[in-house]
Amino acid sequence: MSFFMFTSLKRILKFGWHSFARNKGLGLQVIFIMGIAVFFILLFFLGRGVGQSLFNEMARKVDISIYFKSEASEQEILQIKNRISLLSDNIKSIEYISKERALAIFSAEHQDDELYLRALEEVKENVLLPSLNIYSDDPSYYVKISDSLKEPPSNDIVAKISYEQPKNKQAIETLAAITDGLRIAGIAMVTLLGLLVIVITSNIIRLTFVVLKDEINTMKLVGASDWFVRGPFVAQTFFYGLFAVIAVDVFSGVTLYFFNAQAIHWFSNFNVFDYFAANFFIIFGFQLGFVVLLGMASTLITLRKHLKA
Amino acid sequence: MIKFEKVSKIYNSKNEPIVAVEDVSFVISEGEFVCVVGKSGAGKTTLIKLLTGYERPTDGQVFFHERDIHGIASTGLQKIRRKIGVVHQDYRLLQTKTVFENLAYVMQVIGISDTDIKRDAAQVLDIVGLESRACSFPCELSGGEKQRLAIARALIHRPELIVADEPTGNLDPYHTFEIVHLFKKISQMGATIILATHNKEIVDNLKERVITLERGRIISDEREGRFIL
Repeated sequence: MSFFMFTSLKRILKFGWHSFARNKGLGLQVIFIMGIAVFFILLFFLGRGVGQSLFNEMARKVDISIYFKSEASEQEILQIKNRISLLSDNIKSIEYISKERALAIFSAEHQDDELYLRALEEVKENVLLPSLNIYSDDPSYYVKISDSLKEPPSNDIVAKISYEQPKNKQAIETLAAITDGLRIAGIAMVTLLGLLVIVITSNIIRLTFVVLKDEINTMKLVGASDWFVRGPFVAQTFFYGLFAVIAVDVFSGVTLYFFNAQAIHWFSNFNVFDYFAANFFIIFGFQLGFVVLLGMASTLITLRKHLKA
Repeated sequence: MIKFEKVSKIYNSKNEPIVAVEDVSFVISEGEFVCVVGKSGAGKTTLIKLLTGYERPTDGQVFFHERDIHGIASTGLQKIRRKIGVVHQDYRLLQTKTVFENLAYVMQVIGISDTDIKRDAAQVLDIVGLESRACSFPCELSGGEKQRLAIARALIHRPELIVADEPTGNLDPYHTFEIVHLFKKISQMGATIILATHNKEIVDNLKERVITLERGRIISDEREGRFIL
């Protein structure tokens, strides 16, 4: 960049800063409007984090149990166990529970319940089935496991798969749908707010232009280039956006810090402040890019039709 | 340097068209000092607006260094404007900038360094008697101070052409004399000066070329002219 261009750029930023600093009333209004958009972007990110955390929490509580027919041999069951464990690294544990162990667990769980114990005595034989308890940190694998067991030779010895129970499957699918829905709603809201930022910034620039029309004409009369006239407005919008983002993030950060204990309790141990801190640069960058770029683009578009020699 | 060739400017209005300037032709050479005189409404300000590109002629052409200023791209017009210093009748100061910043702006447009700007601005403010008002905004100045600032802004970048539209209208006799004397000195240094005025004393004392306008037409163009209205 040539010295002249660098000097001009420096001056444009300085003029923009002066305009920003000398119009405090207007500035506060613009920063407030942009701040609303910035705040909702922050809510979008935090909402995503909370949603993901709740989803993971729920997924952790869900596992899948495969019950085998009484006549299935231990060797056959262990073969299936090996096959499943190779499906993915997301499968964290597979526990084989034999008929005998199942009976022991059942008896221990119901040792004070005479009704169950008498029922077992009357039946005389062990009617409990051998099973595999599988836990994955990605519930989507349960579908794969379930599907793979419906095919021969596995389907010959499988009696029942707990994942297919409507309650479990529905819970996971509902939670996934809610998370997806929240994400879509968040994107829609951010898009709407983006339009709001454009419309409001355009109107403010247009009003400012009406007020400063004579001044802009004078700048042109002394030979200022279109960029030298236009640049400070764009720089001014940049400063509005930057201050809006800083104000919202500082306020939000302080609020989250002091109310974090409460938030953890509300969101099932999800540490909102830690999430905010860990993702701060991504959030800040997105907020700044979104608001500043939109604001600057709307400024340029609004000024363009007014700047004719 | 400057050539008006059969220039007319007609403003359309609700009642009937207003002929501000009609079939005006003249040539001004480099280094000339020209007074453009006429009563209020004679067309002096319109002539200046046509010269600076603020208005387009209805007919005819305006040339600056043989370039039709209304036939060039906007970037070309910007470059021409940087070579002209204009004192407007209504001052046209930058209201959101201080006195110093108003002067500095003209220099910044042409890329002068901050050091040179500080030095030249201080010098010019001293010449026009505004050195103590450097940090004031135009709204805080009197009419005479605004006019002196407008004059200072027209001179600071040492333009090759200075166009002044009633530059002494709000000035006391002392400052009027000072400003006219300054213009004379600048003219002697090679700048071309066009001074639009209806002040008889200034015109008669200067003894320079006088173009007289009446109802938009040139009725007289004399070297070492006098105020004949």
